[in-house]
Amino acid sequence: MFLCSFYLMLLVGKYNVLTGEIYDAATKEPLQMVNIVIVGTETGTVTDDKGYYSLIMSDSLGEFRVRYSMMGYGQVVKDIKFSGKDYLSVDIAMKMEPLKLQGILVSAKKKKFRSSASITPSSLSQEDLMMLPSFVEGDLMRTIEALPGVTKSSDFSTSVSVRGGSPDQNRVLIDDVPLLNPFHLFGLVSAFNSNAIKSAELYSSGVPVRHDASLSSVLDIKTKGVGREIEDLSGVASLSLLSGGLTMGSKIPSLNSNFLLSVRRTYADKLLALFGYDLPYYFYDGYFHWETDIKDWSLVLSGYTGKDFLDIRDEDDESIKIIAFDWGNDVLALNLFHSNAQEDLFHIFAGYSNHDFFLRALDTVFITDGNIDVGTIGAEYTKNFKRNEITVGLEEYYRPFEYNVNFQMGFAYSYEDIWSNRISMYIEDKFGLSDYLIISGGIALTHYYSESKEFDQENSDFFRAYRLSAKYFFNDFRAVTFSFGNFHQYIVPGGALIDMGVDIPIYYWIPLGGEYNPEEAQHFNLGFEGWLREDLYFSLEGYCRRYNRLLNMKDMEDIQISTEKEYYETMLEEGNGKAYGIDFLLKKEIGNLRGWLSYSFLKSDVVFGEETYPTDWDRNHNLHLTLLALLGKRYEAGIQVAFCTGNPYTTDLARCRYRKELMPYGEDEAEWIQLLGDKNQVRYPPYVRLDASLGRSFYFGNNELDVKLSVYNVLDSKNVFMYYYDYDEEPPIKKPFNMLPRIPSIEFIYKF
Amino acid sequence: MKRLTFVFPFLVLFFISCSTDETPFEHRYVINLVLKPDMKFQRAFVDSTYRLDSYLGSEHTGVSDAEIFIVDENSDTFRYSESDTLTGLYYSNDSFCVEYDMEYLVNVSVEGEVISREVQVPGLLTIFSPNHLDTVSLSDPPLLIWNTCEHCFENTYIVFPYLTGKSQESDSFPPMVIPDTSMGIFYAKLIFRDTDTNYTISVEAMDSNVYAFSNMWFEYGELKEGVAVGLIGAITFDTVAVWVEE
Repeated sequence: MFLCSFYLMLLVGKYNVLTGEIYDAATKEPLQMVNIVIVGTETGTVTDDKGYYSLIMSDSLGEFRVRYSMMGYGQVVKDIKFSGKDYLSVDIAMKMEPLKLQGILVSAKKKKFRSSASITPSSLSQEDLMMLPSFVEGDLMRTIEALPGVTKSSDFSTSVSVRGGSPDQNRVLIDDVPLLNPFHLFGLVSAFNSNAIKSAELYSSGVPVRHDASLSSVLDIKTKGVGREIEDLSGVASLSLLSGGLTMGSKIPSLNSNFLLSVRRTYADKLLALFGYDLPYYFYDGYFHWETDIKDWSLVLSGYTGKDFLDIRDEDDESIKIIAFDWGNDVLALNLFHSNAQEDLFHIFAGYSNHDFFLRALDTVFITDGNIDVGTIGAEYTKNFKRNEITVGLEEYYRPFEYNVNFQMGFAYSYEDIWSNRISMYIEDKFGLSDYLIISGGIALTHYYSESKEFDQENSDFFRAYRLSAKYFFNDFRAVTFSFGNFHQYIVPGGALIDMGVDIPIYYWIPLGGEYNPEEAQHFNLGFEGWLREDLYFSLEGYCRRYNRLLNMKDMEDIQISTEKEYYETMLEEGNGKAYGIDFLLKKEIGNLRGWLSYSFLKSDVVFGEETYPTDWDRNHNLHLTLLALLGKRYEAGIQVAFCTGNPYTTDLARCRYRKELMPYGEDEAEWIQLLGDKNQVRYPPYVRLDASLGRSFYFGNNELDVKLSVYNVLDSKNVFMYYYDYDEEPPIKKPFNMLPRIPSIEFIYKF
Repeated sequence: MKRLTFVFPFLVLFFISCSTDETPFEHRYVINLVLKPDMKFQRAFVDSTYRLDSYLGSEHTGVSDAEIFIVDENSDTFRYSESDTLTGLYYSNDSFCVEYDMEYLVNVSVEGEVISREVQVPGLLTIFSPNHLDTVSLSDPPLLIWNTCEHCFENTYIVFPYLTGKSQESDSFPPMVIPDTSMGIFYAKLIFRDTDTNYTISVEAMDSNVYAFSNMWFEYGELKEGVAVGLIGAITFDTVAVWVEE
């Protein structure tokens, strides 16, 4: 089109034509939508998708000034002189400029900084997830572990602990819909397809009062479909060593809406089947998001499904199932928003989710089947005044539970009539007392009702949750914060996979009722945050948490199992705990070199019975360095370094012989038994890990292929997961069982 | 970068704290004493804990010169004598007969320390189906065995599949805990998949008087306060023999 115009104007002969190409100075990539304006006039144009531009002007303009500008890049001003020519080609290399990029990223963060009464939550962008080194493929939960306040007990699980809370105490929301057990592959990878994620924010403090359903944190994940950001049909097809996936979205003008659809599945089982091998495992997940406007209302319909399947059969007789294990989530949510010129927002939501869990062992020996349905309905209204923002809300969670556990040697129990209902009414008020001080307070009144006809139990009680936070601004770049809150949790994990040495986050959730009151915690936080430079954000926050009531699954031998009721009433023990620490974050979000440095100090103890001991995730010192570098010529590189105190463990103090009878009245044989000391009193060696990645982009017209090579644990650090003793030697040799070794991987991501 | 200097104290703390602590060895006496009704002799084994890193030959364990005596509900006292065959092995005198559903006080005195424990013996355990030497086929449904036990306690039933004369998969196949005094026990066919086809199946009723090794399933113990660990308890059992056709 430009060429046609160009020749046409030349034929007319009354015009001059300025043309050329604009590209990124570092990557040499063409830049589209660059603004080109003749200074002092209204004449201008923009570059096309290949970075070309053509500006046609009257031949009376022999000498003039042109300004090239684009958000995120340094402005270029060029003096142009035609000198008798009627055609001139000027190519421009534009440099990314952090000071300008703050217009997008930093100002968004500063807006949050200025408007929130508590410390700004740690956040991750889609770019972080895609560019950072991967464990087989990009994984949100593995990236989160580098954020301050986050610790974990092993590489084998992506479940994390936040500020000393147990992994089950993190509430995970995907587009405001809660997910239970959002993990695949027994926790090795998370249930989120990184290609569909736009951002994730981790609230380890300043959790809004409406989220009074977990003791520790809220992970708020937003998908790409949110906010109607998708314009044209676009998508991402991905292939890693683990799975293949497709994410695509588009605007549908005729319906005044847009949608996002994302699916992912492991393929190793299908691939190996071609070669005659049987891999009895696979998982899949899928997500959709649809937004539309109907008059003054925005309607959002979203859904998620994720399932894991493990089916191990006897080699000789395939009709015999050795292990059959599947679990997953199904979620459907409807949200309606009504906004009036940003002065108020009315939000109505309704959702349904189902978490199921099925385990069948040794064919007919052991079967357990669990189902949790959650029905949610609620409404929230937010009104903005000049210095005041008030939010009121009402929500209800209805949870019927169903468990069937069957030891087919004669013992079976089932809970089919347990259900709980939680209605919360809350109000939050955030007001600015002056330009220097924001105070926010909130209260939630929750009625919790649980009932079990089988157990002859009926509970009805009210619980109150409070939030108070304040932020004092020294200036536009520095502020101190204080926040306090009490938190409740109404379901707790239980079941056979708890406390097996490795945290397998496939929990068997138990509703609290009868003698069990909801878990309760209090958080106190004192923070300091701001910018050291325009592009360098920092936060420092100290915290103290008290767990007034914690519930833990007992060891099996301490559970009375004569009846279902007795089992339920004796399966949990009550305890308490405390955690305190300091989190520090230094983050550079823009520029060709970005990343963050985080340091966390943590002490976390729990008390159950007469025992006081550190939690499994009590890593006292955690240092993480994450760097992303945009290199020239379409390359990008990332590294992630972790250096942490070793996790606590229970050591063996001695050994003794246990004399086991081979059969009644018969001879015996002696076996060595190791005797354990007090729980979690010693630590593994420090945890060290370096991950690295290198990515390259290939362009095919408007499409892009990204190839990313990652190496997990580049140094092959022998981080100890557990110790065991080899009794083939005398004395027995203490041997480490290490966490994940060096794992290289490759990912292909095709964007269209 | 000067502003980053406040990170320095944290780094110092970090490096200081990265040492690992090893808890020292803990000495305990180890008592294995299980009362069994209808047995002519009662057996006990007295031992101690040992360092994990010290060399021990198989014959270098066991504690001699322990004094073991049992007091029954009638205040009669029965004593154990040390065996000549194995260091640390003790047998009761032949006049001591353990009765079902009775309480006993077990006393072990070793090197100046006295360990005492009250033990409740379970009631009579009877397997009444199938009959001895039943024949089952691998293609049959899982074998069903019923049994009863009077005055047994919680956590009392443990099922062991035995090959005749030796144990079979008792390590890999977890014992099942059955709660009721009247129950059905289903055996998976997998138990019977071996070259031998003649099985003896034992159903044991253990009491809950476990001194320290409360978690028998996984065979580990936790050292708590006290001078001894081990197993002081009582057990009753019945067996059936089963012929399995391929």
